[in-house]
Amino acid sequence: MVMGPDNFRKLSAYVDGELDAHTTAEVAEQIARDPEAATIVAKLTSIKSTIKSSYNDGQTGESILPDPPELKLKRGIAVATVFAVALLSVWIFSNQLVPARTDVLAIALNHYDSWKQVKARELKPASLITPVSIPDLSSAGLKISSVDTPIHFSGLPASHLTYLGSRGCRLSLFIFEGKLDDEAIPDLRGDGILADHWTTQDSSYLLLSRKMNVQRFSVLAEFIKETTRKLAPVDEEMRIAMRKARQPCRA
Amino acid sequence: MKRIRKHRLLEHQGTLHAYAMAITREPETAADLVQDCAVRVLRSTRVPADNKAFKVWLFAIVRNLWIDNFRKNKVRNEVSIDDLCETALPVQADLVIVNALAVRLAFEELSADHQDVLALVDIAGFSYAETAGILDVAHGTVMSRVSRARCALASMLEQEDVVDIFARKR
Repeated sequence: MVMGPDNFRKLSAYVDGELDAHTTAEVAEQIARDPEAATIVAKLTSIKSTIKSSYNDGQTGESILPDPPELKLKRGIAVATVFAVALLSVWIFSNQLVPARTDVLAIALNHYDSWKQVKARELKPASLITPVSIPDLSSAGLKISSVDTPIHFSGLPASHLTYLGSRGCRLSLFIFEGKLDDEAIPDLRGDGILADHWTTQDSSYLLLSRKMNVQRFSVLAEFIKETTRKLAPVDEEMRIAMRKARQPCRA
Repeated sequence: MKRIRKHRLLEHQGTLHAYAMAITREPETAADLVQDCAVRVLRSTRVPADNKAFKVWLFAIVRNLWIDNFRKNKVRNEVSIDDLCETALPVQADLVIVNALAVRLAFEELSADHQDVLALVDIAGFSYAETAGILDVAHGTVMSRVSRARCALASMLEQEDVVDIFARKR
């Protein structure tokens, strides 16, 4: 059997819901009495959904947002920067001037991964009396799980706050006494690692998670930044944004 | 203001990347393209307030960047199978034949225009009117291109004798 291009065009538009009410009714009638038309519509629907799913099957794994200050570093420059930071860290380490800080993210990841190994039911409740202020993420479905303080990053004192979500999400917040150099926390995103860091007048912060929804992580980071910077009371809009951004984390 | 814009951008990250993958076929190029789009959005002094308009604007940026900066460096394989659909489409009134991998491979064999229009309609989820705005063509042209692109896909899949993996699962 043969289907003409005009009829095919109409069926294709029908699949997309692009026909007016009258033509939609006509096509629906045609489908009901013509198995050939019904087969084509079924096939077009399958193709449409398969194309969509085959290109939407994976997230980018990393944020599309450019790194601060919102300018994209070209790969060559980025490689050169990483190389320079590596050289600088070797030089600092060899001269024993200050503790080697370039492995801050690696150490933080170790802390995060060690904590992640512990099953949720085995985690002890966090102590309520702590020397650090704890951002409240309950609006985002994350409860404080533990506060580990002080821990040391090559001699640098810090606190490690962990948050646990009801749907498998885990989040670590490291609070360092004093300021970290930007070079101390290289951008090592990949393998599902999500990291953000910032400084306030007194402290530096590193937020870390693995395999969390990128948008959710971004909203959480913004919320905690506002809280720690004490620029203004966190508004209701931000809390709503956190609630909306809730997503289960990948295993 | 920038924070809000970032959140708006992130809302479309998945679809934007999927669209970029569809038109570039290369993960690295797609990531570069989306990243460049993000830079442009964050630098822009005027951003559509309406969410629909914002989405259309985003995809238009990606598409224009692809045309201006990336596509000229790429060689695209184009298959001239459009003629198959000009006159008639042979129909096998038996099984619905769809295979995810085959569909994707067939999609990549389509002409640039057909990939373009299907990426916007099927992957990004734009209406024909919105797609017409992005491509700067008439509404009817979008309708025809979508139809011809799908016709070409269906013909390729029939030639390949694709097995319906979804039907088997059921």
